[in-house]
Amino acid sequence: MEKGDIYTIIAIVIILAVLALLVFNLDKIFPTPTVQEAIKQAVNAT
Amino acid sequence: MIETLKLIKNNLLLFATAIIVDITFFIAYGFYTARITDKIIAHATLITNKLSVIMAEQPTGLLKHLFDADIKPITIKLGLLIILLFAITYVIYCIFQGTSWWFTTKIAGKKDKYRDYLLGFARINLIWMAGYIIYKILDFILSLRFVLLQKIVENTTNTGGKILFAAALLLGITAFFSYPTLKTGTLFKTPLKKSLPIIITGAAFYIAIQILLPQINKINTQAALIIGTALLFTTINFIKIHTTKATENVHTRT
Repeated sequence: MEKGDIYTIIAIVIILAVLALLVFNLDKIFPTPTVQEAIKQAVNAT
Repeated sequence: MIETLKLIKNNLLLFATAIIVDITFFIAYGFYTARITDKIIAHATLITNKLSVIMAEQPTGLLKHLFDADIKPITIKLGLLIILLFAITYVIYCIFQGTSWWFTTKIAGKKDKYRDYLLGFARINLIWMAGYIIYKILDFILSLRFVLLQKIVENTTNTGGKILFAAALLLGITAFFSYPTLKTGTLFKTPLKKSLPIIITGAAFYIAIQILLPQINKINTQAALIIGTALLFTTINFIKIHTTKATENVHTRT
């Protein structure tokens, strides 16, 4: 395996790890009520 | 086809790796996009709830109401989430499908470097992703239009939707043929006598799996899942290798 390929694999692992961190912290970045709470709000409104 | 089978036989490990990468793509796609999709649904539901109250009093100006003071923050968040979903889909697709296609081109005898192939794959998919976004927007508009028209004219047909589906199919096939050579116009440079059998073979395998799996499912659901997964991904990678061989000289022919 060439050096370039190894660096590419390392870059891919880092990208996937960063994306995983983003997905796990989505609630902090985009805090919203859950779908169930949104539906509850709709029911209360009617 | 026989040549493709021989190539697979001589590169069984690479073929198995390509299949595993393909399966991993679907697992990764689900993992990375499920929470974002949930958030999009939650925000869309919130907007719909608020809009239904407003539209009951003022039935016009839907787009304008999306940017009313109390809805605007949710609309902006929804927009950002949709952009995030497309961006993550693009990255995951390029990483996993790029890797899978690199393996299949290796089996077919090409000598592209992994990094160079992945970068070329990412570049070409900017075009296909743009096409996909346009398709999703048009699909949303046409579906909404069809739902509204059906309330006025019950037996209306979704001709626009069917034409759009055909266009999306052509986009998908064009993208598929572009991946071995990393050139967008490969489908149109490939002689019909080479491209048509590949498309027909793909369609035939798809229909065969659609007929076979429900029959196996009646006997054993787990067996249907395992056999379906094995058949589907083996077929996809077989067709990828065959397409790579069929398109190897199309850009260098005089």
